[in-house]
Amino acid sequence: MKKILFVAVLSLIVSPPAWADKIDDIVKAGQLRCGSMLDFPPAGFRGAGNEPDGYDVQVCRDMAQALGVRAVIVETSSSDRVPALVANRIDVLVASTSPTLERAKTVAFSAPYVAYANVVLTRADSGVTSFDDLKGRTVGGVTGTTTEAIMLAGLQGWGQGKDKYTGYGSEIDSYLALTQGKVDGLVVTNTVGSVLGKTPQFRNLVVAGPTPSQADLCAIAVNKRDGELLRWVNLFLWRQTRIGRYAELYGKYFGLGTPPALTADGTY
Amino acid sequence: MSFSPYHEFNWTDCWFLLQGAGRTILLMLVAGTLATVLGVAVGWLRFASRAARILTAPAIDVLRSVPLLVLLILVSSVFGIAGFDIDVFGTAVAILTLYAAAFAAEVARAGFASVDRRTRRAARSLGMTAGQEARHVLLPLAARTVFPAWVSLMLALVKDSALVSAIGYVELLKASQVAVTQTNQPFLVFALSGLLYFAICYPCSVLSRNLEARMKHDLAA
Amino acid sequence: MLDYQFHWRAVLADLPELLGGAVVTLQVTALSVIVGVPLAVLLAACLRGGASARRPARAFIEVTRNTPCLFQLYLFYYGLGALGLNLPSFTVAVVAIGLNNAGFLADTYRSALQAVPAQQTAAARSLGMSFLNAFWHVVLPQMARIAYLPTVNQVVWAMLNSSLGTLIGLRELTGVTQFLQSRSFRTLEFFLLTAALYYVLAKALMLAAALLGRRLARGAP
Repeated sequence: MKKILFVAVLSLIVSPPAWADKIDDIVKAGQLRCGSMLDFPPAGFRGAGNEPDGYDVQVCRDMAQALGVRAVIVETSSSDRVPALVANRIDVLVASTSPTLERAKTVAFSAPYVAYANVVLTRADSGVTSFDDLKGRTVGGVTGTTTEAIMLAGLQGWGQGKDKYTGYGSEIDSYLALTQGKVDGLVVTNTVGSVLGKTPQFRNLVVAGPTPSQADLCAIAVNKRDGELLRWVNLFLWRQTRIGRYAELYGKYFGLGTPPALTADGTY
Repeated sequence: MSFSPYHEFNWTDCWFLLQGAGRTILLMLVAGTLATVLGVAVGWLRFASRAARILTAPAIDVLRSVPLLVLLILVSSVFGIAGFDIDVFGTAVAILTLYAAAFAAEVARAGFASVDRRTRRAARSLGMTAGQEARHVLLPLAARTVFPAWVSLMLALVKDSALVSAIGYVELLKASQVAVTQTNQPFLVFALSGLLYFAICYPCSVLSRNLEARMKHDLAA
Repeated sequence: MLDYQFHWRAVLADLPELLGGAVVTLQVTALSVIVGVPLAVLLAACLRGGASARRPARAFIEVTRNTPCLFQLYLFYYGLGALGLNLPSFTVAVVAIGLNNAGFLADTYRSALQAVPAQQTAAARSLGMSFLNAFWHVVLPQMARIAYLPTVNQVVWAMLNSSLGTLIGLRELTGVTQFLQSRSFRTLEFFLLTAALYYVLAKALMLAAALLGRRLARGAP
């Protein structure tokens, strides 16, 4: 009898607690840990007082507000974005991430929440005026980004190896390399291109036309096992567009007029 | 547009760098203390027992043969996957502690081994217990011998802590990268952070050298 | 390891690319030693010379020893870039790690140099050898025996330090790993494999050094 009682008590102790999903965890913790890149203005940067700001950061804050919790912005570099999510250092990733099928094997992606066009960025004195002008030049990119993939695809198309390509650890490193003349061209999003040209520090950088790539529809990522959270994020994004908040934030941070539709032609 | 991702280098950035330097020092103090305690314990085990020496050898060997950068990324993802609820500072401290302890253990072992067996036996024959002998003879003599090596280890820790920037902790190097992002004045910012690192490390290395010289002098006398 | 599923297939398929990165790591290591060791000998000679030679050498050593290697890489890459001098990341890694090697070995070499009595050089000179000949055939072999172990340690350090090159865009072992893991995000698998590769590289370097060391020891008096 004693033995049975002991086993019963033990099973009570070790049995898993009532099932709680990620949303419950977040609400209970009172904070939403949100990964963003802070070296990717205007989507993510540090303002004059060094506090995080930007389009992605603001989406995080809206999301936290909708959940009734505090937003904790965790800075993740481009190559550390998904590892931070897998390693459970963050709850959601709002970091201008393209939902590739390869990445989707490891994390779960939401519906698109922002759309970028990818353009060529170069120095005014480089003589580069189109993507194909980069053929044979030294070029750069940021390790683990979609823009890097576009550049590498270009190199392959021109029959070039990777020996004239340098992959940097962060966005700012690649801009510095371009300003200093270490490379002659980068592929960046149109949003970055427009803000860099207006910045006194990067006065010598100009956009030199589009790249042969489709609009980059970026998505928010959550852990694969957090299905409930993913559904909530999708609803949140749907509402952001419906209430005009998407257009408002797009105008505020990117200043590029009417925001692009978050859909693709011929499908949803 | 109602925001400014970029600005000229100003006093706020200076203060930001100083805060980064403060965090670098904090990392050194916390990880350095833990690593010293752990290192002395493991070093003692390795000195006193052959079995412990063989058992701890693989861990120390691996920690000393893999770059810290790789260890940082690896361990931080293991921590996350294992479900440890630990922030970036905790992760950074844990990895730096383990890494420095692997070196501290060898320093400590060498220190214990440097104490003459006859001195220790003499202490015991004077009626000291094993504990008293360890506290009053072995530890002070060993500490004296390895003190300079220990200071260099702490200096290495300050410099190694720069790598913690790779997992997102805003210490001095990360703070300088952030400042460079906003100001695009890399030369100025790196010159400043270089000075700060130098200001942290140089006094320690001079102190260690002087002590070393004095010890040599004492031994010669 | 609660619910982590290892995906090894993708990682193993990329093994050839990782090995390619390991080759770059070894190249940087070898070249940085080729840059660092002669410079360290030169610095050691300067340290034994007059104040005009000693002071700049001492300043150089203090700066390399009291700032992080990662910082030095940044300074060389972006700092020099700001002054209009753009070197490829491979060259910067070789030069910066090479100078770092020199800074750390100089003091060791100075004491090794001190250990060879000046009378030996004088004797060799009196036999009609030129100064360089005397240094090469008489002083250097004896120095090598003393400085051998610290040099081997520094070679392993240089290899581990080369991983920092990834932060200035060098695609060595760590850089290739970062690149590959960002495609599929199998971070843990990739970095486990890379850690294993570094371990093998470190052991291979030690083994090569041990074989070379036996040859050095054979010539010992």
